[in-house]
Amino acid sequence: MELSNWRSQLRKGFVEFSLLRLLRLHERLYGLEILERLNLAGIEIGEGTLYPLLSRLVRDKLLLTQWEIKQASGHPRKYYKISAKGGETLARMSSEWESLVRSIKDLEK
Amino acid sequence: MELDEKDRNRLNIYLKELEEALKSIGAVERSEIILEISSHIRESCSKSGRPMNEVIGALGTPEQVANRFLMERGLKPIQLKRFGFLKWALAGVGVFIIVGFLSAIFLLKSLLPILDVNDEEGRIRILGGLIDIDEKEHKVSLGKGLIRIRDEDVSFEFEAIKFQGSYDLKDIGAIRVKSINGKMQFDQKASSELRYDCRLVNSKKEIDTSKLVEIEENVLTLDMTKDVGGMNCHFSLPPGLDLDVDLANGKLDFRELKQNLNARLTNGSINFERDPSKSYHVDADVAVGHRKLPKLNAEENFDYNVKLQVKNGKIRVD
Repeated sequence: MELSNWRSQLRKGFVEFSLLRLLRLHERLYGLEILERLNLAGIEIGEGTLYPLLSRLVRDKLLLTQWEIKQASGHPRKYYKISAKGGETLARMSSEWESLVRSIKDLEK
Repeated sequence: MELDEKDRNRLNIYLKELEEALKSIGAVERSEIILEISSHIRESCSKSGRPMNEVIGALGTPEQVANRFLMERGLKPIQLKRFGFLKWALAGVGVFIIVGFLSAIFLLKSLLPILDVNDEEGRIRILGGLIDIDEKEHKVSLGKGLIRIRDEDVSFEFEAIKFQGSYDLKDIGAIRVKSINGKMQFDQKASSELRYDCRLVNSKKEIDTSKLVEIEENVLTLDMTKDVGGMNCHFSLPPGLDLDVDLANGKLDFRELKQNLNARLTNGSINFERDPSKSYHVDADVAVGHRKLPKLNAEENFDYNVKLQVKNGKIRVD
């Protein structure tokens, strides 16, 4: 069976959740760091898709941003932090996730 | 990290086009987006050592990137410029060509203009003509005529090396073929051998063909990505073996195969002709371009699984 369609649908819902969890675990991260960590965890997200997604989460007030212009490397960085609203949303997503996992387990009964 | 002049120009062009494409977003937000993307590209290059072409290619064209921002704001996406995809995808090809073919002197002579697009005449010239595309005449010329692709024909400026023979496929379950530029044609013959008939070329005029084939576990791999600048190959395979094909630029032709197939092409066209006595499950994906597919039955059981992917170009299934 061709899994790629199912996987891409699944992934779409999953990426936001993973992103919020990632930013909950770290004080703050910038674009490239987020990309690296997600990829390391096996969560594939295209570079062209990440930035617009971050932009949307900021506009939905789930994330806060902070620019740091002076860097030793000379590359200005936009750091992202999870907001209080983001934390609440994440908590709700987590319980949703857990009940999904339980439902699948319950099918086996 | 300091960028060389070529990369700086390329980056500036990219950011200018991104800015243009994001016109409908407010100035402050727009400049933040551009600054973030610019930092991403520069830091990604210096951190990973990847060439700028690759980093930009991974992001997408300025129009594609802009459209994602626009769409998630509920704004109208902009029309993709007709040749937009080719400019950026082929910038990557340019690097291959340069590294594989041309001396440093040639490179320095053709630094500017980097990009020349004439939408009316349907012409694109990249890197001073190292990549020359004539949409109207259906011609692609790589390396200033070193490789010329026109519809079905691929011809080379240099004398091509013949690479012909056959491989006994006892104990082999799958075949992989990888190459960068040219044309490959696959058909099916009942035998126990892989038969190949190729014309290969590169600027050095010498290719160590003994290094091209590798067998690991039960997979035979024909890797023409290193020393081969261009090729025109014809393969005949026995039925049943899985086939995996990877080509960056050019044309892939599959005729009446009796195997599972996974084919990936970055720029160009794929033609897949089915065997009328067999049933196939075909997945055909074109990122930018179009597909021509017949009515495929959504069958439960099929004989072979076929996956075709083209980034820029087209797929045709008969």
